[in-house]
Amino acid sequence: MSNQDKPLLDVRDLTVAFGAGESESQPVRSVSLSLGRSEVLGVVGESGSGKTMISKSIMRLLPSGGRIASGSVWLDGTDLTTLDAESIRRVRGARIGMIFQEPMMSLNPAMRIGEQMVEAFVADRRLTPAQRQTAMLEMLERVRMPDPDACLRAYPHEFSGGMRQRIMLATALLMRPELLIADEPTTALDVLIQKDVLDLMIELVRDLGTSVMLISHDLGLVARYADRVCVMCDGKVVETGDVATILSSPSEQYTKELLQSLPARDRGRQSTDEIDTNKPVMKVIDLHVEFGRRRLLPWLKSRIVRAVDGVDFSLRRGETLAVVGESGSGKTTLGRALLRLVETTAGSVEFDGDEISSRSARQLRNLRSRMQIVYQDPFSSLDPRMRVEQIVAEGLRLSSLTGADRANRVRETLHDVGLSPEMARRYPHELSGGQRQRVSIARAIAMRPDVIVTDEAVSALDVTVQARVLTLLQTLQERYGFSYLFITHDIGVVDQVADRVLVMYRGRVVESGNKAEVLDTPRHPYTCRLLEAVPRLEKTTDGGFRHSNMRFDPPPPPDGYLHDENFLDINANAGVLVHVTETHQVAYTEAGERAASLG
Amino acid sequence: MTVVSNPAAVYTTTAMPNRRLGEFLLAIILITALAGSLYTPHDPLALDYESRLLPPSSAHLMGTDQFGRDVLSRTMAAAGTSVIVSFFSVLVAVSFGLLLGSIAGYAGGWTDRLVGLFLDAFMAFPGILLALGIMTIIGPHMYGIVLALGFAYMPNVARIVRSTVLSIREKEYVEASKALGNSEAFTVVRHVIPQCISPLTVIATAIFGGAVLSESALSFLGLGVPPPHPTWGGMLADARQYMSIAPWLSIFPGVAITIALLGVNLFGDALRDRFDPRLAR
Amino acid sequence: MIAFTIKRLLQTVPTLLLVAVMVFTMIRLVPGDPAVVLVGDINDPVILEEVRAQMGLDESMVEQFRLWFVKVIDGDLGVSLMNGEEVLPALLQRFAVTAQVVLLSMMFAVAIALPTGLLAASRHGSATDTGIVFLLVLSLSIPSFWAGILLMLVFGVKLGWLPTIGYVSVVENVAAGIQYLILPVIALLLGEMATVTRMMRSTMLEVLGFDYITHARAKGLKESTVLWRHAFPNAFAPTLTVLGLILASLLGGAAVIETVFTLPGLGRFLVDGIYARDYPVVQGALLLVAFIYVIANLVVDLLYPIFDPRVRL
Repeated sequence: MSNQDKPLLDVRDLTVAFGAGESESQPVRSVSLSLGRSEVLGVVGESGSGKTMISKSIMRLLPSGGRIASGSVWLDGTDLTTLDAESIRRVRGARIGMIFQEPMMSLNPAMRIGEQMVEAFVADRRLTPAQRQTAMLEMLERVRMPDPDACLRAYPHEFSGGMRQRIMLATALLMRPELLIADEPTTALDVLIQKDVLDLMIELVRDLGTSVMLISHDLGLVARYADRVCVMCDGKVVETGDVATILSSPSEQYTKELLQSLPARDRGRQSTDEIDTNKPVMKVIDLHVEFGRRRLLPWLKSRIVRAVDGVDFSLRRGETLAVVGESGSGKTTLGRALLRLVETTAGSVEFDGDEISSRSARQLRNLRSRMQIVYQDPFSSLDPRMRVEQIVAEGLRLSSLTGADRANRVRETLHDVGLSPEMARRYPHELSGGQRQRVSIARAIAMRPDVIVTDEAVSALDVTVQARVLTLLQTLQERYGFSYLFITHDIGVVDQVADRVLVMYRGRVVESGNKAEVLDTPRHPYTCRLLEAVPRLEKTTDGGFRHSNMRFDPPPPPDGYLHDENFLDINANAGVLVHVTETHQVAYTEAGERAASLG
Repeated sequence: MTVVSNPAAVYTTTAMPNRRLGEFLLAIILITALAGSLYTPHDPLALDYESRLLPPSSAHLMGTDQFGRDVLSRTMAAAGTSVIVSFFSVLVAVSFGLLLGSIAGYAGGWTDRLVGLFLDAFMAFPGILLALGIMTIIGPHMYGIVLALGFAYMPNVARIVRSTVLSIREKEYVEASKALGNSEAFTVVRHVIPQCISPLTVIATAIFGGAVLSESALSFLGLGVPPPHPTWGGMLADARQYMSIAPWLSIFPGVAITIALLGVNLFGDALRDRFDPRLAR
Repeated sequence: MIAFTIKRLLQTVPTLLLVAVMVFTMIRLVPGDPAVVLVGDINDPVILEEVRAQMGLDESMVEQFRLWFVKVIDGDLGVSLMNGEEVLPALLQRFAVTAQVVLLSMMFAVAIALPTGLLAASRHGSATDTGIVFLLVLSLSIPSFWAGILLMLVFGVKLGWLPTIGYVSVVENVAAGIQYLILPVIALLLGEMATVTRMMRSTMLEVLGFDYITHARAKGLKESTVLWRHAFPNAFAPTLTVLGLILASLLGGAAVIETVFTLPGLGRFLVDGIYARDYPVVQGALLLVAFIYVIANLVVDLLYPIFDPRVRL
């Protein structure tokens, strides 16, 4: 048998253990997987599935206290688990490269990029310093870093997350390793940058013939880039196979559940006609929020950030309006500004016909119970020193309910969000992430508000938990008629829950309309790019899934307008919002203005 | 997703034996302080010129000093002085520090900057010199040294409280409390102040140790608790003249201070491990 | 960078001003007629009147402070009541002694602390680590003045190797000068060494948990390279800040140590000043110590960006 037929990496029966005796835990249990040459293997699992521990044991970089309890890891005929410290060091970097999740912390902040990159040559003493320099510059060029020379002299903090991840990629591939382990390489990045980085990575490894182990929680993402996929749960491999087969006909129950949990449109609400006619419960006109302060001294530049820059919309009773945008789009600030949790700079917010942006703090407090918010982070949004029942009851303190009614309301609300009565006496740290988010929801709905702002409320949750919480939110809306302002970066979630969609970019609305209008026939170039960047799985007629690469070409603008191509330029004037249908608005540049600015 | 190891577990395991020792030593000092105020083998103040500078023996376990006073009795009585002075110093430091720190942290803006400036200026004086300065104003009384040490350590408390309040204020559950319609004052009392208790306990323990040390240093300089009250520092100061002929006078009070500080420090480290693993040192 | 420097420099101005106000007020708070307080036990009505006029006691408090402060800026801290010396030159002369002790202690403390902290952190949880941690707590728990007494007892009284009390300037006689400094420096550095080591250890532990350390290992670097080249510089920057803050406790500790070893330093001068109720000396000494502290911390902050490029503005 020739060497080429054998897999490059062969993990056999691997078990990783922490602690000893009674407190022993095994995050990885009897895992076997293999990876061929020039193959991209996706390892998918929810948090705690042990997928990261596998990569760390291959590199023999387990955190202190962890050990490989049994099994072997063969790299091209060598068992890595038996190597001494010196020999494994020669494998690291030279034969296996690695990229980490958090680009902000994976480069040493105190060292220049060049100093860190050159260390990759530690195992190779043949190259002269000049040759090393050339190799580094060439690699930086291949990952499309602008100005590689300057890059080598710069410090990590001078680069954005996406740029840092390219630098990491260049460093990892510098020694042309046979295997690249990428552990959630783009999870911390915005979706457009995520696509850039991963497209680049796959292009490079195909070119160099490197095998890749792509670890991710995102099945859609793995489906887009991997040849084969390995599904993990609870430290065990559930199912392995090539991507198309696993998606179209999964054989294991867990894989099916995972696929069913992916947000999808057909589980969303069918008709939005009735809601269209409801009168708005909230109306926002030309809202501006600025941060920073103007300097009094004329020669100091004022540092003003326009987080929300002229936003108009209305929210109708019982509808779900999704606000979509990347980080820095101002979507979170918008949600806070509606509830007056941040002060608005200009514009007005009307709640149920009352102008509230100029209300005093005292007057506002009475309105607060009618507008609530659910936060992203279930750890920091609940007071760690309060019991669940106290948290849920807190808002009722100011209501007209009597003591007994309040207790009843708390019980009823906990039941509504699917928490059992014995949870009432627990503290937040005794609950799981999903349970905490249910408590957060319970706190918001206990007073039966009219409007609930959910700020990335399901983003921190694993996909199966996320699916259940989304269903809960929809059930509650049907029961109590809440209006949701659903702030999220996740297009899939929007597709499932939204009636209408508002796309934001740098504090401005670039497109808004009914869900189908915005998601199926996007007209703004930004919306199109955003939708193309999101890896999506679509349901096939036979009940399976397949990966779909969407292409969107914005239809020509109406007469007298041009595409808003200069939206990327922060100094450019905002496009004007034009109604292309009764409900669909898109930002365009007025033709006259473009001509004027060019002329 | 990365598997997050629990940092608290990592830090506390090593501290276990040390924590036990800390609790044990602290108990010894507190019991001695209590016992010393009720019973001592001899009268710590009784002069006995017949038995001056006697080395340790069965009658005087730690020997006698230049006035024939029993060193063991004096060391025991001094424990009481030290503990009481330190306890009230901590009380002063914590009360004023909590007030100043929470005002600065919550009000923010110019109030915060002014308080910060004031604390900066305060901290520019080494604690013991500041205490010396304050003692000059108040004069050598027991309550004088309590106020002096209390104010010298107050900025440490204020800083911790301020930074805790600042970080808690940013927490989403504080914003959620506002969103529920609660007033600022209610939010502070319900959600912000309770979070300060853990860091306050840690800093109070540290200050207690600092006060024990500073009180003995001040008394050593002759500017602390006035004689004839026995203090460890005062005893060490007197012992210097007799260092070559009566070295035991220089040993026992020092051992007492060290045991007290060791107990407080080990206990404080264990507390810190428990309440905030990131602060573990 | 220049903007950062100027900004930081300007920040010290209000602090120093407030320090001056505090020192001024402190003496004014001493019960009784400030002139009597200032003159002390000298019972001479002529001097009393003179001092009163000098201090401008008929003027408002603000005006009095202004008069005093203008003189302070001018370097005129008044005259010692003990021996009629000019206070500022006397302070500076004493400070030269204190500076030797404090700087030597700090140097040795850091030289011992950095590698020890690194060692403890890299062997986290091992017997070595636990042992080091215990020794650190122990040395934090021994008061410096008692350590001084014990050192005197052993090396001076019992063994007779080193002089116990007194001082010879290093300038006059290098060998003797150093002999007189050894014990005070050791007594003073124990506690500070422990503080710096603990800081170094805990920052190292934090730094070692970051991804860039794992990344450095994943590149195949030697463990010693990972520790010294990647972890150490990142752990050193926060430790540097602690050095500035420690200066206060070192200067305070020096006052006590100088009394133990009867060194003619600034601390001893201050304590003598308090005994003698020599207020110009007390005022001057407090002012000088606070000034040194503020300036030292200014220097630390200005050095910080060298070790942590993220702070470079």
